[in-house]
Amino acid sequence: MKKYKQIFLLLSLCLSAGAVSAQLHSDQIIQTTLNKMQVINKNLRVVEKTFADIIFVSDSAITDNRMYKHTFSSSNTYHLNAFAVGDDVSDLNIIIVNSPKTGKPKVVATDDMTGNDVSIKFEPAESGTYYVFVSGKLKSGVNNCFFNLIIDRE
Amino acid sequence: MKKIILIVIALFIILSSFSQGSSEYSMAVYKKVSSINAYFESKYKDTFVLRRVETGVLDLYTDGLYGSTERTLFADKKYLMAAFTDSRIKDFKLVISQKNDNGTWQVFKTVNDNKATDNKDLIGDLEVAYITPKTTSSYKIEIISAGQPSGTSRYGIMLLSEEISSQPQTTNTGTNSGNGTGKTSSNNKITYSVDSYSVADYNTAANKYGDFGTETSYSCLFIVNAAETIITRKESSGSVTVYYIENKDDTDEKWTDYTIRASDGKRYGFMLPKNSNKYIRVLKRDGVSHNPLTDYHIAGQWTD
Repeated sequence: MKKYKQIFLLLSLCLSAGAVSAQLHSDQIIQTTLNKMQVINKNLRVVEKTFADIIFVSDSAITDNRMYKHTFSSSNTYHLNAFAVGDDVSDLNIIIVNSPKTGKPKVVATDDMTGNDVSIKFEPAESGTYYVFVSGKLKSGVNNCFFNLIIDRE
Repeated sequence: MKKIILIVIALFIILSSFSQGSSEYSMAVYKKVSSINAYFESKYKDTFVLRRVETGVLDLYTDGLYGSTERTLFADKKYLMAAFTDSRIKDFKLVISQKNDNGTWQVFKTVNDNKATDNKDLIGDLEVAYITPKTTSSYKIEIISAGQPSGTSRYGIMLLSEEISSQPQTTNTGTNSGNGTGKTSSNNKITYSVDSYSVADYNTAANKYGDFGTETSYSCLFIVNAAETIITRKESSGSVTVYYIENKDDTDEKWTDYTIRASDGKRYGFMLPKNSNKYIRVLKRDGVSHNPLTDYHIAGQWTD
């Protein structure tokens, strides 16, 4: 009976290992997001929004997977953090474009970091709606990459 | 002195409890994202994959609370949507709308099945919808909670679709020559903030383009994506239009010439300057589908 228990345990372990290896990276990103949100909350900052989507190596089929609209207030300081699994992407970028009522839209902020986890501290000069673009340099052989963007305020 | 210390401690406790309350709901919503994803993964294995997750705070509108996300969905493809609110909102309806050619939204499906009413895990309501769009278009997924709210609520929206391998990889129609720079995974970002443009129409009789017309004032932002597959046009009004890049000709020293296709199927020659972002050129044909490799003989057909 003890032997059967051991075999059962071994089988369970093998099955669990198989299940883990079959997980999509979205699981990892969701877990990372939860961890990051805990840190944000600990620092008494407030998560305003999270956006997760996919960057494709050929993005021509997708029109709006990496572009998000968000309202920012000039009286607040924001932190934007985009991240993906390091195996998928070597560099992520965040671009913030304003949306003025008159005149042309302008890029108001871009991150100056490299890697799969990048951030911007953003203090908008004016309150209003802004567009946030996330782009990424996918690693060789990677066709798509699940990423997340967290917008929080101090 | 003691009083001041007590006040500071009291303020700290108040702020901490406020933050705790807010963070409690934000964590609850994201934990729900995690559990729903795990549930769908176990139920559908690899047949459905997560495409979009959005969480945030519902906005106040004239008659209740509102949250939404927009994304392109593809024809004849199965999508699964889940939306939920924290326990402060116990009922909402999930509305899925399709964007028409004229820019208006048409309701595609409404769901109000109240799949979570026991406030378990701080979740107030959960709605799930399955759709298979007949046309490729932009779709809006909305959470609408009618009535006068006593406060706001956090929400989560998840979009899953059929397996990635069955996702159309491109909307190009097979006419893409692939003779661009091959920067398919480049990190380059090209942003053009333009002041004016001019257009040259195609002269069918002469089988060539005419001269470019007068420069027209035009405030606009163009963004070429990293893979150089999309040009996004962002108007000052806030409207966003996306064109697919079908071909790129970089042989001219002053202009990069893209053949682009609009969502209505029309193709244009679109010329972005290499040294300045202030002026662009558009080669306009009749909009009839044609081969960009033979129909656009760009070089030498305009005058500076």
